[in-house]
Amino acid sequence: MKVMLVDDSKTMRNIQKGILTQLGYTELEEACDGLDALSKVGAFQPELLLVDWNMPNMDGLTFVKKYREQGHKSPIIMVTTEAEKSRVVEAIKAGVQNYVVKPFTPDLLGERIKETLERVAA
Amino acid sequence: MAAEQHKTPSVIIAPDKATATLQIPPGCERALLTEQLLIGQITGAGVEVTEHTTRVIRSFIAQPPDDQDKTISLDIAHATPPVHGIDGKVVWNDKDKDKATAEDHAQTSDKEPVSYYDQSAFLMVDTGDEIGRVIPPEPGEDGRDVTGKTISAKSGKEAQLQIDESIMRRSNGTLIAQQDGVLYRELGKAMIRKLIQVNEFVDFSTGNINFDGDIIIGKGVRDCFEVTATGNIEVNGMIEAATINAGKDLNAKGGFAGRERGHVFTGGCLLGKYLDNVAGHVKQDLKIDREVINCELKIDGQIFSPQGSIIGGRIIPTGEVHIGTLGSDAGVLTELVIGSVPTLEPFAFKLEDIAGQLSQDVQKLTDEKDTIDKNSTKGRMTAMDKERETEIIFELSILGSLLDKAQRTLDLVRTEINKRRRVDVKVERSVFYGVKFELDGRSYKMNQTISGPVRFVMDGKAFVYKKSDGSVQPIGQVADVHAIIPGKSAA
Repeated sequence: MKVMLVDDSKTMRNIQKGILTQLGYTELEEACDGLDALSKVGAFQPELLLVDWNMPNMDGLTFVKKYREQGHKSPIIMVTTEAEKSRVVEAIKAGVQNYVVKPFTPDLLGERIKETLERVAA
Repeated sequence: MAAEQHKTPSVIIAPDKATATLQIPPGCERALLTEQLLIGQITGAGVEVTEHTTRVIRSFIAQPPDDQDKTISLDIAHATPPVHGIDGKVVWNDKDKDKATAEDHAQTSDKEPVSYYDQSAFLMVDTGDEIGRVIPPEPGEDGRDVTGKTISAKSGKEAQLQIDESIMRRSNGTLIAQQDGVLYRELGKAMIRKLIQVNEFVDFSTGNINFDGDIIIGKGVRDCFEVTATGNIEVNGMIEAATINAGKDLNAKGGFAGRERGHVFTGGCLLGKYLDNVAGHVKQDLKIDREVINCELKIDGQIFSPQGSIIGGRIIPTGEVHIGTLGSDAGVLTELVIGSVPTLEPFAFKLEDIAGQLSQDVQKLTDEKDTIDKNSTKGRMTAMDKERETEIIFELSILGSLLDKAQRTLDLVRTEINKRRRVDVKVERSVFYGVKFELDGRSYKMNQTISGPVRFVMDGKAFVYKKSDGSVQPIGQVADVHAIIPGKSAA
């Protein structure tokens, strides 16, 4: 499965990469902000996206909206420090399937990925 | 009539029929000597007429008569001698790889010295090497005598070479090695063997030996030479200050006088008459007939020399020790490190270090996480804190799994060490003062001599000695006990 990691922190992307690799996902693409991600989704065609909220150039929420506007249907998990309920609702309205609040454990991220993919498949 | 007969030309054939001469006596009437007549006479004498014959006769007839008072000899025929065949032979590719290297060095570089130790007298070959070529015999060409009879040429003989399955002879005569080894050639036989036999010493006549197989040395090994074999090494004479590496056993039948420069490594056992000033590692048992003097040896197996002595030096056996005498009556320091497993202990120490370092890192991260969590309860956790805490959680999960692995491996290594270590030193005759045992971080230096048979063993957690009468005494009664401080001599 192709997974795109969108986060301005390389450390965070590495953490996510480590967790995904352990889960058996090896086709990974990275983007450092929403703009970078938009430029890559066409060629990479991700089947799952993990997106941070706060990023320079283009934040995660804007990216999600634009991605959906382009007609892409792949599931998105928002991985963010934004934990307020209103923000969660805002993200879900924009087209996010699931939500992981930082700090998270590797197990929690794994569970959310599994849960999201099962929900999409159902 | 008789005088007239004397004036007739005659043909004289050499006894070996190699030449024929036409002799024309003095007074012979030249006008009567026609080509036809002379050729007829030559043919009648049985000489084959060739172009040469005709040319000589015609030339003679064409010449004006010269001195008719002399006998004229005409060389009318020569035999064509046979060209005998050439015997076949075997041409060996003798240029040994090692030797070539040394020679090439000598030719190409004046600065780099050639190691004469490295010049091998043995032709080592690898499977598939072209080691030589059988040159077929050449047939030769027949000759003819002056009468036209064939003189048979001798045919060349086939090269005599017996080979076994270790060498393949191709149809074009090339000889191909079928196994790695040393090439032996003698008396028309050739073979490749996994055994090198050196009848004399290993010295400059042989060079260092490095062989994939076994080596038997008829005499000894001279100073500074190296003998390496993947198999067994047997030395019938004395090994001097040399280096011996045996993949399997070393049998030093004539002893090993290392003079502090002797080195030994054996993948198997080390057997021999005596060892003197030798350092090294024996992966299995040590069995010496007489003495082990001033040696520094690690023995992964046991020491079995009930008639022998260990005098001076430092010996680290993993297994049991059964010896005649320990130390000498001069009180020479003789160290015996027992209950040690030198092959595994370094791993255990390394793993302990790794586990310790990992634990420290875990503690540091845990402390940092606790600080962030404290801020969180006070409602002061920033987005950066949350990111950092995610990183910490991830790092902790990795460190935790590494620590777990290190601990489990360490447990396995410790279990194996305990399984292998033996604290059992049986001495038949005497343990002299000056002998020092090292065991579990303590040294036990004998302050008096005790007679055997005596056995040094663990009794529960105590290191004791047992006499043949069954009495058991703590070793502290006959030895000074000290803790060993790492990096410091406990002597």
